[in-house]
Amino acid sequence: MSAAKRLYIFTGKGGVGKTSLAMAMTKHLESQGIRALYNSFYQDPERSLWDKLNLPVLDIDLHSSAEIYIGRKLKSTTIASWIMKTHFFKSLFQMIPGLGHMILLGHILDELEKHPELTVVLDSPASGHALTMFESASNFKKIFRAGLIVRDIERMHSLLSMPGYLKTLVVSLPTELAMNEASDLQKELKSNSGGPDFNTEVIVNDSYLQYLKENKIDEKDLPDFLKGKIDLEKEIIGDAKALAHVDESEPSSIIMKLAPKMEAFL
Amino acid sequence: MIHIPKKKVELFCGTGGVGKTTVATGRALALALEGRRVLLITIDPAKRLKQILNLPDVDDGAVNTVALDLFGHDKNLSFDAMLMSPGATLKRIATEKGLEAEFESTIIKTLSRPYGGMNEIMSIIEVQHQLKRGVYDTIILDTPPGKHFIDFLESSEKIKNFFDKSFLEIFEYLGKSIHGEKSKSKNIFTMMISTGVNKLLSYLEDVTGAEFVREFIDAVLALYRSRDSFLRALEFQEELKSETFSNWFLVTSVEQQKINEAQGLKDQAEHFIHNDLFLVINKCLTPYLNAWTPASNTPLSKLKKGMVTREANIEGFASKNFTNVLKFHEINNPSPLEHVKGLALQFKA
Repeated sequence: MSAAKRLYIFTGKGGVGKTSLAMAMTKHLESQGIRALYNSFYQDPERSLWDKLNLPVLDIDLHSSAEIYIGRKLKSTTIASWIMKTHFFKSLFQMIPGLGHMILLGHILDELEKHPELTVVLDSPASGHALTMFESASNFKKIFRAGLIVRDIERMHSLLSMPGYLKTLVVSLPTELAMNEASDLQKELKSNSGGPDFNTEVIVNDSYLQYLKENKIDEKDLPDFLKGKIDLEKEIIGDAKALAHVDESEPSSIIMKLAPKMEAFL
Repeated sequence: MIHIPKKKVELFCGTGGVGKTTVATGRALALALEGRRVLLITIDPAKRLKQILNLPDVDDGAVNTVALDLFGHDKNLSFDAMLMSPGATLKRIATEKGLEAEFESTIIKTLSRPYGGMNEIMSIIEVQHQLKRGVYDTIILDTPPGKHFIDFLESSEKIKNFFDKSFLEIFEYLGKSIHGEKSKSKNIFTMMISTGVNKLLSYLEDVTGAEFVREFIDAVLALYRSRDSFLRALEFQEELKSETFSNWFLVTSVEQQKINEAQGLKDQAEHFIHNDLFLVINKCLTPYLNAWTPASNTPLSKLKKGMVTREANIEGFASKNFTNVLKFHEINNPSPLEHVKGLALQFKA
């Protein structure tokens, strides 16, 4: 098998299956003997699903992450918790949403530095949010200019740029709008000047074309409404790798079926 | 048959990727065809509306008139469409207040970019502005996906906190002018607070740099001077709760297996949403599946069974948890304009 990266970021627009694929990746890495942790990156934690899958997670929330981070930087947890409680800081936090994301990412990178055998799978929020997160580092450099945060951003950039460290998987569905959006996101990530190389790859999820191949179904036997779907898929998938539609309705069963297929995206 | 009453504002929310913008555009077309004056505003920073309606690729927050011949209807009918631009709205506020120079701050500019932190607040202010103009019968709002939508609803709460009195401590301490005059001499109490603020600022400077703290305070001061524009947004939040004012559409789709998320959104927005809530299940395949009879015990029949089960599960969940359910079938055509047309027809039905 190919060597695992230290950090996998799953992103893409909402409802394309990011969470399922990020969990599948974590389970796959685990099955390969790698110490992998899933992080839901401030989205609502789906704890019952984690339990069902027996999923190893890095469970830190935004607020406590910020408090720990600031505590480390100022070398005092008391001051950090006091700062977090002030109106000024609360307002700052609310007004600059990317700030929290960046702190959380910094926290995760700290964990990766502390534990050289660890791999983290980050389930990043829908595209808008992901861009906030990626953009935020460069934005903050522009607006902060000095201080601990800027030094941290520089450290984060050089870590993320190390060869073999990061892979960003842009999840998409085989529809025209979804594919357009995925390629826009990929372009934006590539053009992020001054930032790290995000090492992106698009995964096309829930493909019926791939399903037909795997189940040896002849296209000719399909009804018209599905033929239309298949023709469209052929047109838009291009060189991207596709994952077949999974015939299950239980999320945990879907994830377990997807897990071995994640090897192709390491 | 489900009756959808006519309201001043219609909100389309959903989990993202479910065709929310297309459904909202279909609704705009349906209402425009009835002769209503409609403005469609999209707050979703994704550029989908631009793609669907072929709008110019500029971020100026301008209102574009879309003649209905685009959809093969009467060219004398139309609806208006705008892509929310937080920067443009902020600029209008700055001009109204004569604060153009103060708003030329790196921080304010960064925040008012489409993915910055002020998107939601600016959207509410923009909707209010458009309502006040009084030229529309209905304003249709395509809200940001998922969690962002909750942020949108709660943004006026954020404003309130932002302009919270205790925030003034900072300015008091710094002796910055808020109401055009320098703050008065401090009593012991404010002195005590000020000492705390002083400490806070010095810690903050360690983390963010001193320059930033100064710029941030100037930025906040500029916003504070135009606070009445922001605080008015609170009234809108109250209005939204009124059943005579708004319709709510929660959009989900068969493809996405996200119906429990729709339920989650409904629960989170509970104190805003009233009885006129419509769940839209988009991209239903039922009519197509019913017409398809593959030979039994083949891979094809297994495929059909899987698809039928999926739709049945979603419908079962929907009818259990929602009173008004609109099922829109998939439109089998690659053109987004055909989708809008097809959805408008389904709204009419």
